[in-house]
Amino acid sequence: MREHRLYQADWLMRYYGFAAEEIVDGASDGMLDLERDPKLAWALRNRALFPIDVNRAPRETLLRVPGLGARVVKRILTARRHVALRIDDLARLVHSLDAVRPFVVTPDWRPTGLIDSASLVGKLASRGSRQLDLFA
Amino acid sequence: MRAQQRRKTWGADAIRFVTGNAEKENDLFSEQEAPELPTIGAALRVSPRFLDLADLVCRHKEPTRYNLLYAALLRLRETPRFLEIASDPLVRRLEDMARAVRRDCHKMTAFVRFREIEAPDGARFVAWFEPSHYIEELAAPFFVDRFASMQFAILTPRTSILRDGTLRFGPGARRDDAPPLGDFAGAWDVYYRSIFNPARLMKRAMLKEMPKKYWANLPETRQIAAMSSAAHLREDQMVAAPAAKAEHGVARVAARFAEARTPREPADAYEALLREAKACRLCSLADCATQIVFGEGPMQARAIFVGEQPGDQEEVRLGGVDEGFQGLRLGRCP
Repeated sequence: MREHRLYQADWLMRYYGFAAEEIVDGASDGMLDLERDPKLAWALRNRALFPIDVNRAPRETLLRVPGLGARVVKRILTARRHVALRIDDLARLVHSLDAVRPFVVTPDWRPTGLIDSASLVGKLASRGSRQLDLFA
Repeated sequence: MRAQQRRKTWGADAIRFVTGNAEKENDLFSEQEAPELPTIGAALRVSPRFLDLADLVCRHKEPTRYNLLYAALLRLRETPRFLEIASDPLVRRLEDMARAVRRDCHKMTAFVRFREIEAPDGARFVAWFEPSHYIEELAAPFFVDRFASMQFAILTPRTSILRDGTLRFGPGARRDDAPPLGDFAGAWDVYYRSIFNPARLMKRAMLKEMPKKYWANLPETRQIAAMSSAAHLREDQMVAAPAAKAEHGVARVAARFAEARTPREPADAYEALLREAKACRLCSLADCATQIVFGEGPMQARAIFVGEQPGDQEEVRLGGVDEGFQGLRLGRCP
């Protein structure tokens, strides 16, 4: 799992414009969080920046939203030139709307309360099972 | 007042597209006469992107695919860049269908299994396959390229790809028309067992790469259930087993490596000085310098040549005192 997090951190730096300090900042004992991916961890640490308007935010900001990958962001940018994206449109673009919802605003959606909720961290925690050590 | 000629555009719901499967769809229209077609009006221009998309979507098994494409055409007339609206349900539907067709084609190139038949004029290869969509024509060029010198036939329920000198498409076939795998089945079983790693069993990833609908024609998959249930046991055995004897030569390499890593006392004052110089960071040159250029020669020499400073050759490439320009000139002295 740690290896997986390292790859994710590397990806963030290459394609999402993250600086190394941003990923490591707030990490206890200098290690990446195993429970949550680095992008989500960063977003939760910087909740004040969210929610962002999907129809107005620049590319760099969209890339910071958990659940919006580089390809999805590209599709959002081309689609919103022609139509105003509503929450249903976003649902057709993203892999998991539940992951994205607390962090975005559309003409018909506001994440009232979600973003400040203390239980947000728990809700978004990884549901995957712990990876067992091969040589315990 | 001039009467304006209104060109009639048939809406997406007003048209029924009838494919060759009409008798199966129990279509009432097949009994009526086809209406007279009007003369074509102004030409309709679309982007190449739509044509590529349509090519793929037409190969999908979905019966309403032509209606969907026609609806997209109508939208394209009002919005030439309609396909850029990836969030639109119609665009999404069409892209999903195109992706399914591409994926089916990709899987066909992976899962076709040939059997060899002896024929008087050389060996022939026959395979049976069941694609999910109408992709045989799309996938055929791959096989022609890949098996350029083979004469083969890939039989499917709808058509058959025949290649003997030329490529052509014959009628559909049944599973029994292809000979059974025979000995090949055993070979595939052995191969699959050998590459199966019980410690790395990831069911979801495996099913994503090898969907169950193809298993019927991949004989080695019969073993998967048994191997999966035994995987944990095999993994535990692997962990419990004593460490295997190291290979010949590993011990020597490990010893050399260990020796190189242990720091030892400098042999003499010269080596101590060399080490200190290599690690020196007393001035800012340490940040951009490539390496130091230390002195060379016998310690008991009666003369020392002291150069002004290392040149680029010495520092960057060679690291030795005599190598660069000055060294060249010294070397020429008798």
